[in-house]
Amino acid sequence: MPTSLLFGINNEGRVHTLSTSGSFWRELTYVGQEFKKLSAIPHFLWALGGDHQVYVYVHGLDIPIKVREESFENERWIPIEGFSSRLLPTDRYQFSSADGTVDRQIDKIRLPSMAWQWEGDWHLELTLDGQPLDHNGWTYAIDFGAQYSSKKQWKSCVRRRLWVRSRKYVAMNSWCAIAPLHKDATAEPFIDISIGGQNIAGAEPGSMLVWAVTSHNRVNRYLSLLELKVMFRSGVTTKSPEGAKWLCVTIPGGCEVGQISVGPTGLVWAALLDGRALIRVGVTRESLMGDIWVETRGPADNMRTMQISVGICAVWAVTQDKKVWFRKGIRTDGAEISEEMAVGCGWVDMVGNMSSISVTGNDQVFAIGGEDRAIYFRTGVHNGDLTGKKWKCLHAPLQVSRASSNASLNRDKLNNSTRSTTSLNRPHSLCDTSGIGDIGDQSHSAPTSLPIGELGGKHFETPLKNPRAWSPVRSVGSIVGTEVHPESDESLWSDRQDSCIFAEDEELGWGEYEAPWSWVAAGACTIELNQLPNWFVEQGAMTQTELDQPWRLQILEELRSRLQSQSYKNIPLAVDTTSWVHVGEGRINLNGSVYVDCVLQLEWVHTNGTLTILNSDGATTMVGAPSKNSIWAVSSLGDIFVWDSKQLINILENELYVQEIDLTRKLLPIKIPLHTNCVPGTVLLLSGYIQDDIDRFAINLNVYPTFKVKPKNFSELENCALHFNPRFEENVVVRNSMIDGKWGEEERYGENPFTAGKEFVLQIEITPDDYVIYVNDNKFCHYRHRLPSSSCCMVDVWGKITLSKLKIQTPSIILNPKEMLWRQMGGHLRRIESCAVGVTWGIGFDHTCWVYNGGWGGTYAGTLNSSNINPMADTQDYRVYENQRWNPVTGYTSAGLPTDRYMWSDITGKQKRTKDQAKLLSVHWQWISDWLVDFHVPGGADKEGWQYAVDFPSSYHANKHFTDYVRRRRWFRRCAVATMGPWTELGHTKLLDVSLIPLTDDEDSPIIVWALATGGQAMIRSDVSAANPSGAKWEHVNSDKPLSSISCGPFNNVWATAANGSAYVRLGIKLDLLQGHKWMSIEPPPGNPLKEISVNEIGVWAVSRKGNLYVRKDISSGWPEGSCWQSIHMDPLIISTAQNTTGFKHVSVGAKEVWTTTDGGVILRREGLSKENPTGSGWNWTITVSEIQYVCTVQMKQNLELL
Amino acid sequence: MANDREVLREIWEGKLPICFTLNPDEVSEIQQPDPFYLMVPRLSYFPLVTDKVKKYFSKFISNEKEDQEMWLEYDGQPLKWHFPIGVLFDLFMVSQDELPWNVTVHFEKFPAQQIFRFNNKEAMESFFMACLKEADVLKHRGVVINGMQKKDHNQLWLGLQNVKVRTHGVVPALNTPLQWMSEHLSYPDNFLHLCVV
Repeated sequence: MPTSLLFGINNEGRVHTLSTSGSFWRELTYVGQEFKKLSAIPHFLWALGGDHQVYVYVHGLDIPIKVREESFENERWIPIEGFSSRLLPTDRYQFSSADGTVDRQIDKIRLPSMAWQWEGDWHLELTLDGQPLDHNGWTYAIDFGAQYSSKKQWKSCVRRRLWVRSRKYVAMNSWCAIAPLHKDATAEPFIDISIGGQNIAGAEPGSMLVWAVTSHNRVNRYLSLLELKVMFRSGVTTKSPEGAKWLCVTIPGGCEVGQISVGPTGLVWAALLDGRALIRVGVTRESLMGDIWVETRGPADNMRTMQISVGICAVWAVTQDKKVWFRKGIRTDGAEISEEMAVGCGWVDMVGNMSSISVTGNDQVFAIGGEDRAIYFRTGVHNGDLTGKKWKCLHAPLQVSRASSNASLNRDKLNNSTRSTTSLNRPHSLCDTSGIGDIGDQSHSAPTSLPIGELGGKHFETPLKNPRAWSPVRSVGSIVGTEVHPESDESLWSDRQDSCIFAEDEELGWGEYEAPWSWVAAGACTIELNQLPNWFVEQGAMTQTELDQPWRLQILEELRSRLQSQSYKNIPLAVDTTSWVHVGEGRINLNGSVYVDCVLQLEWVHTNGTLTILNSDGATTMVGAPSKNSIWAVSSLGDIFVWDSKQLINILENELYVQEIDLTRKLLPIKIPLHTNCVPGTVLLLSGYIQDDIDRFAINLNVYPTFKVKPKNFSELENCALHFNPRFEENVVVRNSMIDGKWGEEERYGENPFTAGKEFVLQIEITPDDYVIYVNDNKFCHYRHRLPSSSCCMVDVWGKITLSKLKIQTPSIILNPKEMLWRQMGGHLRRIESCAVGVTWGIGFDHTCWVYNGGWGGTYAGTLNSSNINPMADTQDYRVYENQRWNPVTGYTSAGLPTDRYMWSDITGKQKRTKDQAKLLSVHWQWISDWLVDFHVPGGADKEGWQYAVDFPSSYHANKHFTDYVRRRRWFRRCAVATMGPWTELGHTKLLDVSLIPLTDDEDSPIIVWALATGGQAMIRSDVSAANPSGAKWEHVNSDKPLSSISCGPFNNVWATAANGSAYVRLGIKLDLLQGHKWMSIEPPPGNPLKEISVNEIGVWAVSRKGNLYVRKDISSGWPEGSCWQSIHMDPLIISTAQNTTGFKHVSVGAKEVWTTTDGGVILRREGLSKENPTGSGWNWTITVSEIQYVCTVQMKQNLELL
Repeated sequence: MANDREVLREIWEGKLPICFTLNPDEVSEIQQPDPFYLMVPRLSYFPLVTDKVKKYFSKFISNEKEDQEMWLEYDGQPLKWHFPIGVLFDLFMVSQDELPWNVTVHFEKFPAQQIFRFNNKEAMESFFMACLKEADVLKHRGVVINGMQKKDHNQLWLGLQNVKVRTHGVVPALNTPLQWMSEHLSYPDNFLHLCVV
């Protein structure tokens, strides 16, 4: 569970927050404004100030809110004049939006409010789909609305260019005032505010709903009329936290709304002064405001409802007599909220005496006690029983604020002293419950609750004396206080409790000071029943008086005096509950081939035992956490696998990997795969016996063949780096190479050193320049390289000889991918990334970021787990496509042509998929939604979610053209998995991609972490190291374009791909400026927009959307962007043998290794990589399709060499 | 919920030293076996902790009796081992000074009329669960306690106060609240076993 926040207002109007991972209330920095009411959803708070104005507080976002303003400058070609800004009357505006319908005169584009600031000036966009434009940025077309291109042609009649300017919301982590409704803020004060609607089915991500109630004092000549109005704030989204403007929503006659609440799914309930309630129905993604009001009875007749709070499937209310009510029959988690489900079917009287109530986003309930003013949590609320069991009191000490001028007062309170006089200046009306709802009173006294003496009554007309104390009148959107910087106030939002930096608070102290609360807002808080926060003390706490009772002391004394005699201590225990450890030595066969020494350790703690298998040193575990040199993979089902390089059992001699292959009784000809890169320093030692009747034999070092792809088939051209061919009848040894199937020039000097009927030893040493060949320990010859030696992959021997063994000594790792043992690791992830010092991060399907915590095991392993296994949750969507074809009589129907795809299908149309057929993968999964139409599909969709096209399969668009004969729409149903794994959740910022690289080779080296947020914004994580794998916080790195993938190599080598398919390299990265200063755009390969990129010492590799793989050539420190993309093909052999494999899906580059996965689920290892041959020479399969069906991501740790 | 950890810890960790002796009449060997000493938890039950005892003494009895069920006797009475060990001890023993508790082991003439047969631990478990449910009904759902008014509670307790009671080897003061005793001094079967002495 990510941490979330509960908010409360104490009796002094100060806003406090309590984190689910913490146990202390912390005060939001006080800026001179008290608050009466608060409504919260994650990251956004809307509050009603003591001055009855509305304030917004945006907090806890790692990514700044930025909006890119765009304006297209349009010009038309006019004979003689050339291109001119004079357009035809039928044309669009000179400065317009992309579709030309909106006037976007640059000097008329203003900041929406003082909460925003421009970032830089207007500038021209100089690329089009990743392709650079000339310096004026013009794109040309035959007419407006047609396809624009970067080239001017004879038929180009119009041109346009794009001006862009970004603005940033700077009021983050501070209160931002919403402009009052009238110039005189007192004319129409607000009396209630509510935010919700973050989970409206099918709505644009990031939309929110804000409803408010105002009290308009309409004075005419005879009497003053009080009119209560309901307001809806239009345009509130995560990109526009303050929204656009207030819209008045008419309410039925005779209704006077006193309070309003909007739930996460957009359900709105309003409490009327006469006790009835209004429900807004018809809230959908298209009509966020809803259609009409429906009236229903209140909980109790003739009893005013003080407050209603709306959740997803629950509505709770508190009446004037402080009784609590639950509305049954509410259900709004479906696709559409029916009127019946929105209204529910009746009130249930609940126990408890509460003055205020608040429902969380998952229907948990918090309330404030009617008498004691403590905050209560309703226990036992779950989907089956939304009314819960009982009220449980929250006990969390309150932090005394630094900013609070009455800190000393609070300290006094801790000592149970009386209020000091300083507090008397503060308005205490908030304690007065009768005041909250007393509209008549409040509407007249709106501003008077501002601190007396600081501003005075007429502060609207006078300049502000104290900038900290503030009222919203002057401007449209003003910022109260200053932006809180994470450095200075990190502890408030940080996940880690120990990161508290309020050193001075130690002396102020935390107290068990039970503040009288006036308000609680739980909308931002997510409470899981099985993981309740540490906010509660056990009930029935012993009082000190009970502890001191003589009867208790006597019993305790007597109990303790039982069996004091030492004489029984030798009697054995009937039930042995002691703990012990037994250690024994053994041999274990872990990878199915060789038994190795190990130490078995059985540890018994009370009633549970743990068996640990240790390496023979007795210190490191053999099973357990993988070593830092491991390869991690996740399957498309989300299962995690790891291969530990410690499995390699190659004997290491003098820093070299050694493998001996026994060849006795092997028949010739024989081909022995090498599973290594024959880099300089490699020595091959072949020994055997030459038969008496020998005439010639040959030893070849073969290289991957060259494939010549022709249409429909391919030919294979052999390559041989070294052909060593002793010929006895000629008494000569022929050396040669074959390149692309053609033999080169022979080298034949020297006599044949071999003797028939004798044993022989042949040694081939590979140097940077040549092969040095020894026969029976005598140097025989040199042979210069004609092909890169690192690409040798096989030893091929034929002739009348018998072999005894082949010994390979090489500085490069020897790894037979088919013998790799992949071990499962608990958890559920979509991506995984690791680095050489062992820090591993994962990203779930729901984009949650997880950090590997060094444990092992998980749900799949039953009870065989390490201790640090955490619960994990993830979600996945099942998708089906509904296809329809148009026919002249009935329009679009599900009756297709016989040749058409299934009317319910997968995306390709080849597989039949129906909604009923969808089955959950395992018992750990459960549905969390119904089938819903997906409106957010690539290409857009119309109001009913349909996408139109000329025919299947084609490019789909949102609007129906007259040539469109087919349409489709996507349905999705979300399911969630609850599993366990050795992972720790990292904050709330959702990630698209992440990449890690240690700065140096040291164990404790800082680790550079680059990541992309789900919006495509780049970030770097500070303070990540092996000791602190989660790091401290995100720092945002500016990027013009949303990015889709990011990768960092050795520290100054950061590459990314943008959503438009082009690549970017980050320039200016230095040790003291790790975020660099500029992105440099790099064109993608022509016609192949890039999807993913991976960088390391060995090079920059990228996968395009079409599944092609590219390597960037000629990268050097002086020329970091390289020269061009070189395409790397998949062997036709792989395509023809591996099922469903048509292209590459993912690439992962290590320091010396490159691994990829294909769309058919095969993991491939690039072989033959070396400094001299950075693109390698061939592919080697690691996992055959039958073993793991869907491996979709492999991430390579660097430095596999250092075992 | 009880949360007086000091008291609870003492209760849950309470143990008794027991000296098991085989009934001399049943010994088939020439030499009498040595007594078998065992430290047993007060809150446990004899059938759960006497495996070692049975194994030890079965070597000294005639072979045909080996399969017969073992039972325990103290002071001429079979031990009603469906009660927790601590309760039995408090019933029979007057003071802690008589420790270890000398219990006689029998293999013949199982007194089926007086004690339950617990052939295996499952039988013991199901008996225990039955106790627990009974106590649960009485304590939480049943009308017995809830239906009683405060004065009835007091009366119940006052009735007990005329005599001395013992539980867990201690004699609680007469003004100990019943509720507190129920929360802290109950056995795992959820009954507060009080032995009148």
